Amino acid sequence: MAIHTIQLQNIPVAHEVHIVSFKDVENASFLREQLLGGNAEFEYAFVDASTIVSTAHILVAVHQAVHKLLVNEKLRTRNVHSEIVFSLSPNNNITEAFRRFGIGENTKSLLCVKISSPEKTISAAEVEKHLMESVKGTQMEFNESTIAAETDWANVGKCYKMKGCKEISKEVELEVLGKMVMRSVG
Amino acid sequence: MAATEAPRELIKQGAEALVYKTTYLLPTIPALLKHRPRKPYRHPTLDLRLTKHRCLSETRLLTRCRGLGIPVPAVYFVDEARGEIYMEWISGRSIREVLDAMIAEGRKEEVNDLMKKMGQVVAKLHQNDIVHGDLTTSNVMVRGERKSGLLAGATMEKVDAEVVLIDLGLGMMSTQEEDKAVDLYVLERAFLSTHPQAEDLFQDVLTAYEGSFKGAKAVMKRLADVRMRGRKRSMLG
Repeated sequence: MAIHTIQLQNIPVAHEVHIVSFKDVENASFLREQLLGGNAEFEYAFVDASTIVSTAHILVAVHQAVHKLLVNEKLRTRNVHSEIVFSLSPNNNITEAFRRFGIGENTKSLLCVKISSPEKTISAAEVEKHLMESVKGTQMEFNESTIAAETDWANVGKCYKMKGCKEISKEVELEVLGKMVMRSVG
Repeated sequence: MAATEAPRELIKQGAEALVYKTTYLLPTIPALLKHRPRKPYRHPTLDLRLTKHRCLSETRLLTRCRGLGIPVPAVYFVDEARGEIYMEWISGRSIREVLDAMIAEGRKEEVNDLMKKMGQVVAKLHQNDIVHGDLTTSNVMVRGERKSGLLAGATMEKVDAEVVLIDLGLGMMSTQEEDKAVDLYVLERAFLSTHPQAEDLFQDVLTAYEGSFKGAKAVMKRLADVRMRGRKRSMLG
């Protein structure tokens, strides 16, 4: 199974994280409409994988969003899933964050993140089944090399205002994470 | 809460903060947690505000340094309401311990090299108008190995001794020569008190410092004044 289920440190087990990734996605605009229409069945974080530089990158965003949910700080966006997309942003512009990091008309590679919750437990199998039915694309593993293969560095450079990065390194990863942290501390 | 609570091991306790070794995100990513606990004697509102402010200003300084290429730990995550900062785990020892060992074993060349690096790092800090505020030999780490590769799933690799500044809790932005000179003075005192035979060693630090940036001469001049009167400026007149 290519679904990836993770327990993040210091996050309750009830909030386990399911991640499924796809490439060659054909029905991005359909998926996007479900989000815009507020279809409750499609409560996922659909992240454009071309903006993601490493596995830790998306996990940091997930951790920030779930943490915010838990400490009763008001979420800035509609739910914890949209908050994940917003957490990726280096600035406070929500519309821009969705446009850049969320699914768009032309999204080809996609990371789907689903957070389980104590009120509405959802298993890995359920998530995978639903996504396999809804997303038209090729499922891929979630690991460092599949993420790196989908990264679009021109896009990342635009999103995080970094010039000339062409491949992932420890320094680049930490720079991106630093920009996300800075957003939350102002 | 449930089983995902990351284990914490207390490694240091200061007046303001507790420092733990723990992990962040995944059990494989080591991290340092700096926790500023609540002070029961302070008014709760004030307490929250102070904790928040200090957490955020420390984080800002750390990320700023990082952006400038000054070696400091990277910040992973901040929970300012609880007073927690998660940052990169630096494996190594404080320069104080490393020097002890080196001097005891008579490794002269390595000591000189370290002093030079030290001076350059402090110079870079000051060149960018950042003042450390508590520059002692315990707050400078010497890293002998670092993680290579990405956060999730990396291996350790050996590197040449690398100087890393830690604990910018008292740091601030300042263009004043006075503040920079006090930084050097504090460092000098720390050196002399822990390594009495090391007077000429600190001279090496200063030499490297002086040659590293334009404003260094003025700071050195000021350092002479600070030496005469001590860290605190007289408020007379």
